Amino acid sequence: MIPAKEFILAYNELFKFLHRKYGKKAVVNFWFYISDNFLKNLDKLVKEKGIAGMAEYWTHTLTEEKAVYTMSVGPDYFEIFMKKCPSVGIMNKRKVKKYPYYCEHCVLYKRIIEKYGFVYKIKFIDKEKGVCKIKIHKKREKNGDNC
Amino acid sequence: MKGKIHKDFHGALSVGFEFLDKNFGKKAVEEYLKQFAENIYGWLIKKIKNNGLSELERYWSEIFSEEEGEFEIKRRDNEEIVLKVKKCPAIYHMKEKGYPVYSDFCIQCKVINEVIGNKTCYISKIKYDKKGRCEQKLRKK
Repeated sequence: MIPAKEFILAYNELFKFLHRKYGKKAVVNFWFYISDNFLKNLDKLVKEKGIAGMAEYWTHTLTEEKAVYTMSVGPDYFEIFMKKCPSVGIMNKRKVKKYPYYCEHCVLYKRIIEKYGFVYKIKFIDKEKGVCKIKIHKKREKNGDNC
Repeated sequence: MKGKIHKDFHGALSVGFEFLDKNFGKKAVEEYLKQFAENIYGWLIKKIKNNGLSELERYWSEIFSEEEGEFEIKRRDNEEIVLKVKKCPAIYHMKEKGYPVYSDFCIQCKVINEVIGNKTCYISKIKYDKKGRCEQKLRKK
């Protein structure tokens, strides 16, 4: 059994394998596949609770993964400042060769979040140390009367 | 402080196998697992080469205990080691949470053990029922 604590290593190897054999498009397709077939709990939470659902989801996962982060939640925004990404930490500790586009896999959340009237943005601050910012806000309604 | 183990990762890995199989065939799943084992378990292979099967016993005990599996390990010096899993924590967790389980999820143990066995002069055999019970054996060549 590949233990859960070694999953990140398995994930990283899968990205590398897909890229080497079938190109980056296959890796991106895999992220979309994960988003559509595995993140149903996040989908349900965002659909039913909106921002409160995002807070519930990430509090649970980031606590279990022992991430170092701050979370800001408001009525129409949600932000995570990731100070030490647990995935990057594991790979650095085990000294494995990181998939160069590893951090980009977090776009798989965008596909879910934006379905429900939000805008999802991620900024990679330091990919080697695992520092990034996720900013989500409610999509602003366009004012049609040109005032 | 030790955190809780994020067992949902088993579900994500299962979806990964399913994606590989669906798009590139079962051979791709095996090829990927071989790459994973060779790149990630070098440290364990080295330990087995240096100190014998007690290292594999230690590793199996640690991971199955941490994830609260039901298992039993019997080792005959450096001749043979048998792991009997009565409750695989990965399969039980996925079933409990309602995650789809890839039809040959257990192939991971088959391929990983073969890589470890090939590199340490052991013959690997495995029997599994795909429901969370299996017997994994490594015997000296």
